[in-house]
Amino acid sequence: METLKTVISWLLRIILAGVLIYAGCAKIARPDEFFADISNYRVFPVWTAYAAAYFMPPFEIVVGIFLLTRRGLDAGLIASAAMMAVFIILISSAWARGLDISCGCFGNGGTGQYFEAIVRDLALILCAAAIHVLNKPHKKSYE
Amino acid sequence: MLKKFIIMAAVSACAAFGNFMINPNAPRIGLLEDEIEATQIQSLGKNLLAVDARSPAEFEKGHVEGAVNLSEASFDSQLGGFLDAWTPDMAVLVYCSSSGCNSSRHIADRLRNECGIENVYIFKDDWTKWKR
Repeated sequence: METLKTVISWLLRIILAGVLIYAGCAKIARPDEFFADISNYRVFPVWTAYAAAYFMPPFEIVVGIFLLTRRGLDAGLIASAAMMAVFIILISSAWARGLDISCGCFGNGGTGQYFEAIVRDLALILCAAAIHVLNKPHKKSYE
Repeated sequence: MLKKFIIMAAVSACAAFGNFMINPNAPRIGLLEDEIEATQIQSLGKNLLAVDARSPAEFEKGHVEGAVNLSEASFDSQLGGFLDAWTPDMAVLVYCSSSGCNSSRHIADRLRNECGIENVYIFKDDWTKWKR
C-alpha cells in the first residue's frame, strides 16, 4: 500500500512539476509576448505586467523544481496551488468581461480557450492537494 | 517554510534579472509604427478600407460599417472580396476582437507579404470603439 502511495505521489509530482517547468520554459525566452498576454488582461499597471513578464516564467520553473525535492515539496505545493488559484481568477475575469485574449499559460497560444484553461488549473490544484494528502506523515497509534 | 519561499523568490528574481539583462526580446510599451488607436483613425484619411480579421460567424454578428471580412481560416477564399473592395490609393486598417487579439497582425502581415500592399495598419483597440 505504501509503495503504491509513493508511486502515485511521484507520478502526480512529476505531472505538476512538468506542467510548471514546461510553462516556464515556453515563456522565458519571449518576455515581450508574455508581457503582451499579461497586459491584455487589463487589470495590471504597466510596471507590474513588465515585472511579471520577467519574474513569472523562472518562478514557475523554480516551483516545479521545488516540487521534485523532498525538502521543498511543501512550499512548492502551496506556491503552485496559489499560482493556479490566481490564474483561475484572472482567466475567469477575462471570460466574464468578454475579452478575446490568449491566457498566456504556455506562451503563444490561441485566444478564448478559457474553459479549458480553468479546468486544467483546477485539475492541477487537485493534483497538489492529492500530493499533500499522500505525503502526510503517518499518525501511529501506540495504544 | 518562510525561508523556503524566500529562497524560491530570490532564485526566481535572480533568474528574472539575468533574463532582463541578456534577453533581446524586451517587452514593448506603447504602439508600433503600424498600430492605430481609435482616436487616431482620422489621421489615415477618408479613403480607408476596414478589414475584419475575425471569423465569418463573428463578422455576421456585427462589424464596422463598410468592413470587408478577411479571416485567417478563410483567407484564400475571401481574398477576392477584399481585392474587389480595395483600390491602390486606399489605406487598409485591419481589426479583430480587441486590442489583445493577434489575427489582425497576421492578416496585415499576409496582405503586405502576399499581396504587396504597403499601406496596411492594425487597429489596436476594441473594434466597437471604431469611429470614423
